[in-house]
Amino acid sequence: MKNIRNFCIIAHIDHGKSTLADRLLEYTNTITDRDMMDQVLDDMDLEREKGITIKSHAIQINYRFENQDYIFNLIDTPGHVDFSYEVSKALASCEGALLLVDASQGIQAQTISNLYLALDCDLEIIPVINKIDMDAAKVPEVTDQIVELIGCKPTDIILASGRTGIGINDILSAIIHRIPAPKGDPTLPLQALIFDSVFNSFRGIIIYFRIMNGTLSKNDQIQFVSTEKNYFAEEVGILKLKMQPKEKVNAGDVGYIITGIKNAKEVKVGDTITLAKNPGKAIDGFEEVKPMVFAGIFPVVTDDFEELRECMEKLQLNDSSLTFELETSQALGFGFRCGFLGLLHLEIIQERLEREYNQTVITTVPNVSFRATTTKQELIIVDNPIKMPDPVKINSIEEPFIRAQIITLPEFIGNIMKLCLAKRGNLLNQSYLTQTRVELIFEMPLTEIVFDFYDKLKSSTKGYASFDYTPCGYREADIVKMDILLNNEKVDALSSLIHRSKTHEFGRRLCEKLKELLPKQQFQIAIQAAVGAKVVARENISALRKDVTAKCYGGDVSRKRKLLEKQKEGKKRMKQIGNIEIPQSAFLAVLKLD
Amino acid sequence: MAGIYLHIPFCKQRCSYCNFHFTTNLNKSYELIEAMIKELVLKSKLFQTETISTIYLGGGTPSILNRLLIEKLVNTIYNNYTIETQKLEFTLEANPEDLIEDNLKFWKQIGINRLSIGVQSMHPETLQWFNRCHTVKQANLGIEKSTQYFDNFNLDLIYGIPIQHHNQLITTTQQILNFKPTHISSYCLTIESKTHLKHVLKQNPQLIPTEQFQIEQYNIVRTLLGQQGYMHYEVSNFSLNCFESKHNSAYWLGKPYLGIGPSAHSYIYPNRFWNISHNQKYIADINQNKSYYQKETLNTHQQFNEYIMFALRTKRGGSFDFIEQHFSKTLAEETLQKLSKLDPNDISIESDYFRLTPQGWLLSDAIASDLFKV
Ligand SMILES: Nc1nc2c(ncn2[C@@H]2O[C@H](COP(=O)(O)OP(=O)(O)OP(=O)(O)O)[C@@H](O)[C@H]2O)c(=O)[nH]1
Ligand code: SF4
Ligand SMILES: [Mg+2]
Repeated sequence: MKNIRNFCIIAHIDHGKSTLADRLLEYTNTITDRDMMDQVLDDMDLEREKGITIKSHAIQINYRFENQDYIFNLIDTPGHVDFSYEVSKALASCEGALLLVDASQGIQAQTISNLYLALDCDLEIIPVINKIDMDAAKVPEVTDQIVELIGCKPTDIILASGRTGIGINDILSAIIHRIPAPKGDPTLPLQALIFDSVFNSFRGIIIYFRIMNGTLSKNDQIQFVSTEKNYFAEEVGILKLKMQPKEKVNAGDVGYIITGIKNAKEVKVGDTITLAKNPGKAIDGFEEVKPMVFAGIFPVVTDDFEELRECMEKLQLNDSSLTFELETSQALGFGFRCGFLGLLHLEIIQERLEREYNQTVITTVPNVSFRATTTKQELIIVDNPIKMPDPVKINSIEEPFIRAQIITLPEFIGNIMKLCLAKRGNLLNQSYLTQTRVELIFEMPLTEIVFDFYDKLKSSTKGYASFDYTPCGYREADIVKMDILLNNEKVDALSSLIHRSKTHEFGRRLCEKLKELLPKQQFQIAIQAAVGAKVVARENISALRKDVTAKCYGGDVSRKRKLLEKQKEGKKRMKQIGNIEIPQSAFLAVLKLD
Repeated sequence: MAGIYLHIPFCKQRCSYCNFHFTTNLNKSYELIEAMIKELVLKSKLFQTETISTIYLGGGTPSILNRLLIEKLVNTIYNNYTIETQKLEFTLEANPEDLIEDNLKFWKQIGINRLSIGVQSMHPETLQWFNRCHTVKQANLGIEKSTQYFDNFNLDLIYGIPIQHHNQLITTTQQILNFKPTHISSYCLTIESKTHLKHVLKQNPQLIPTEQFQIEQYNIVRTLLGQQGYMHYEVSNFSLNCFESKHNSAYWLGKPYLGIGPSAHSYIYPNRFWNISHNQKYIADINQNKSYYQKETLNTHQQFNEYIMFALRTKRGGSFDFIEQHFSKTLAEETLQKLSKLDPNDISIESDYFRLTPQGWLLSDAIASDLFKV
């Protein structure tokens, strides 16, 4: 075991983690030339399309160094704030972390937050200045920043480039020399921490774990500590680019197990695997994730609800930060109220449901979770507009606040102040990290950053600002429910919870957007936004008046029929409310406001 | 009752709105017609029990084709198919500049008895803007001449053109009416992708015709033709009594037809076939006995969809009885129920029949896809 090293790569988004992982895999001959491609560990379609890492990805490396054989378990982690839970899970399986800092960008908000997460887990930190091949690299400046941040010596910092391979050998030797070997004892009762799982339609559920103590062999009778249910270990193995079966997996190692379980509910990330005949105790799992935004997910076809439930359960296996409970909507029928870590997370979940599980779903307007106290002093958690009590019965409403940390260049302070004030923010502190870098701390309502804050921040700082946040309690606020009416019928799935001061502007923009997204129909449609009985904005969609092809002769028949059939398919995917057909996209109109 | 359509894929030049399949290079016309002749012979097996009641020479521009080649084609039909000699409708599409005495005489002599003339407009700027080959003067002369040989002829008209305003459309329509054609096809200008017109409008978006403008022009044409006794029997087709195009009506009635030539479509219940739309490949594949077409077999839903599509474009309309007999009672009921919800100005439902009004035809596609089964 003294030759095992478990580590992860952490950094701010886009600082080059996955690219550096490529080089580590290449220099250790873990991946053949044929299988090699850029960011090879980003193996989900969505990751490749978006060019970002969404899930942590573990892979085992064999490395011979100074005549000794070593085993590395590397975990590449995502950088986006929405996925910081993926980072925390990865850290729990490691003894060390490579902390990358982009040489041209310097320390950014998630550099700091991920560093603190790693320090909380007592990991050995190896600081790396990455991308030093770039012309814009500012190595001395970034060195100073790192020394200041973690209190290391300048010589502890490795200079590297994941693109050219500079410094990769230094990193490999630092991993061996500086990261401690795992401490587990292979002779103790088995304790393996489940950190991820995935549903495979042929094999059942595949569980990923890190063994803290003990040994897990093929054909063992295993037990989950939380449920005390027993299963048979059909296959165990380690994670290379593909799964590699082994006779046994030892303490300190990362591996997988297949038992043929098909029911998603039986497997929980954070649970401990042990052996039935000699059970060990539970190890501390992971902190509960706290969802930040909530939205409904509904099947387009009401009958598909049970199927959607199954798919959500399977998806949850592979994304334990997704939470959901039953919800019913007048407009949409049965569905789920889901909790997400942010809007990107929401988008990814919806995409994965569509791509991996072939579900066509409608996602409703997202909101944060408010707390209402009624005149009878009851506390009601309002994570859904339909849970909002009648205004006359409300004593007070509170909204969640966050502490936002923004790192930027001094010239953008003015713009950021303006933006944050417009978002009802409050500046708490402003400090110069170095002469050219400022850290601003704001307190802001969470609901204000959920929607378009990121994009606005980016555009008002030309991209030179990074942002991180942590929840910091609830504050009283004047929150109201805004409804959308189509031809005077309320569509509950389009209701939103917003601050009273924003109703007019938000209502107007939402109506305009809906006008753009709703297809013309054979009658006029009136769109209204209303708070209670008071209409705050309105738009009209005139009736469709002409939709006919000029020619339909022998050669046009097939093409035209197919075209209309395709339109019909589209209509089937729309939701009929009253006599109005609403496309999926309209339910997310609120996210597309410019 | 069956039809034959011959696609002659040649034109002198490309009109700006046209995305049809053709070439301006006539070098290979001999090989092509030879290949079509082979196809005619091959396909005659499929029609052994059918009598041909309509033949349609379309394109492209069949009127530019060498007379000998036309004759060869036509003789192949006569020699290999059973023709309903008494009532045969035999149409040739012709452009005005080709309507010269020798041509007209010859066409008549080989049995053609109906012309479909691509006039499109009598507004000089519009003809130019469209890159048409002919002038207004040629149109006048040509049509005048044709009437000496053919009493049954169609004139094509396009409306909804951004540079042809209402009064110019009225003049055009009146001029066309003066020739007393038996049939008028009037098409709303459609901006097809990959056309020069599309490109022009992309650069001059202020010219893109509005829905309102095109609807107004539809009504202008309809009114003017109605006043002169023309019956509006399909979205884009008008005729004097008893002069509906038999060939086109057969498409809408689900009658069998053979399409000969590159890109031509055929229908023999329950299959649709379409030929490869590349002249050289078509010639090569036919000559090497390779497959030169693709085929689809219509399932019940698709058959129903086509029935609806046609029913909602024609004055003839559709029948619930027919739907019940050929498809199902539920489908007939469902159709009735959906149609009953339409604006009464758009549809008339009388006992077993339903038909959209000329007002309703404007929404024909939207209504059809609502009724479709997929
Ligand atoms: N010049 C240069 N560019 C690099 C280097 N490493 C990565 N990049 C580029 O930086 C971008 C981000 O690289 P990734 O490896 O995907 O970054 P990441 O940290 O894994 O990103 P997330 O997982 O989304 O947080 C890509 O366009 C890379 O090509 C490097 O060493 N030098
Ligand atoms: S003559 Fe007819 S087929 Fe030829 S380009 Fe013009 S519109 Fe198209
Ligand atoms: Mg990555």
